[in-house]
Order: sequence, then C-alpha cells, then structure tokens
Amino acid sequence: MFQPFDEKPATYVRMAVLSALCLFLYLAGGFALFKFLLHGENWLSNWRFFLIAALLLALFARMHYRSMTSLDTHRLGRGWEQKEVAVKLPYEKVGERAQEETKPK
Amino acid sequence: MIDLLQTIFGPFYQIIRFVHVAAVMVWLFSTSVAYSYYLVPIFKSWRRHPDDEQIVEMRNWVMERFDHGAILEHVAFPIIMITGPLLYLLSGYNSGDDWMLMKLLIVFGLFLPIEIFDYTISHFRGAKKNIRASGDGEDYERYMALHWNFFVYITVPISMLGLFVVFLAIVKPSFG
Repeated sequence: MFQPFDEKPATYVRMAVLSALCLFLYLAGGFALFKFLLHGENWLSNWRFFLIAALLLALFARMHYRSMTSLDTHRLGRGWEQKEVAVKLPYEKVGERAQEETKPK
Repeated sequence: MIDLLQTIFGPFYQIIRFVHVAAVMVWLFSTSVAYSYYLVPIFKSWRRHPDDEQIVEMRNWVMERFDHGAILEHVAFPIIMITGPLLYLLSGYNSGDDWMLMKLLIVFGLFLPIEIFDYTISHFRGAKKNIRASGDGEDYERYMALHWNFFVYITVPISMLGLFVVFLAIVKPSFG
C-alpha cells in the first residue's frame, strides 16, 4: 500500500506542478472568495494580486521539484534538468576517516 | 462568551503573545537539525541501498528517535492553536486585514490537516517503535516508506509557508 516514490523525474514534476496549482487555487481563490463573502470586496479584478501569487507559486513549484529530486533521487542541478550525484554511505565515510587517521604522517 | 474571554484574558495579552511566538519558534525549528543532518542523510543512503542491513538498522534507529523528538513540535502546535485564536479575539485584528485572512487560510486549511496526519504517523497508528514492538515487519516498512514520502513531499511547503506565516504576522502586509 505505501511504497517509496518511483524515482522518475516526471513523477516529481507532476507532484510539484499539481501542488502549486492547488495551492494557487486554494490561497488566491480562497482569499478572494472570503473577501467577497465576508466583506463584499471584489478581488477578482485585482490582476496584480493574482499575477504575483502565480509568480510566487511558479517559484514554489520549481523549488518543490528540486527539493524532492534532491531528497529522493540524489539528483542536483540548477533548473528542471537534475544530474545524478553520488551518495556515500555513513559507514564508508567513517571508514575513510579511520583510514586517514591511521596513515603515517 | 467573547466578551467574557476578552475580560479574562485581556490583561494577559502580551504574555499570551509571548507564549504564542515561543511556541511558533519551537514548532517551526525544533526538528530542523535532526531532520537535515541525521534523518535526510540516512534516508538518502537507504534509498540508494535499500537492502543494506547496516543502513536499514541505522535508518530505523534514527526514524524512531525522530518520532520521539517530534514531541516538542507536537506539544508546541496545540499551544499555537489555543493562543492564536485568543490573540485574534484580544487584538482587534480580523479577517478584514489581508495578512490575517491569508494566515488563517494557511494555518487552518493547510497546517492543521498536515499536523493531524503527522501526529498519526509519528505517535499513533504509524509510530515506528510501537509497530516494531508488535512484530509486524511489513507494517513497519510500509509506515517507514509513508513517513519518508511525507517528508519528501512536505519539506518545501511546510518550510516556505511556515516562514510566510511568520512574515505575515510580523510585517502585516496589505495585498491591495
């Protein structure tokens, strides 16, 4: 039932973009709706508010994608193209350190 | 009822505010070092080498300690949820203020369900220590995977929205 994610970049792109869309609809839409229902203010015509919200959430989608790929697939990079990086095991690091310490100086 | 609460708690406004802010700091940052420097490295290793016994053993220990460590965060959250509405009643700010409405949408619509889920997988149905004690190895692995997926998914939303809520509370911006 609960399996780790499949490590395919497309999965993380889909999750990041869908999350950003849902957040945009909920936060910007919810804000405008409550403003209208509770205070009679019309925010739908405030294009600047929606534009800034959309830009922030686009940035969010990108950061979300990068974070998920870095955490779950050992990929790093600047944009949507992420390159795989090597991950050393903790005991490999400990072993290396021990070897360095025992080397004659 | 609201008048009564305002009469009782009004004189303690600044103290309630202090408790609220302190609880927010604990909620937002108490697990950050453990998460970034212990949990993430071992889970990354486990994702790369899922059958390595040493890694699995270390992962289990770190995750169980993290479940326990999350108690700080999960004690702070109810304090926030009690002091927050009290401050709302006492301060005179309301949903007419843009920053307050946005904050309410984030806290009650996003953080509350996220935290309920987090409580469940850390301390109740998904508490790894209890599952291990029950001897159900499959359940243990399932909840371990679920918890990791939760972390992978939630890291950016919770950190960005958490800081955004603090920004809203301090700067009190208007969106008009």
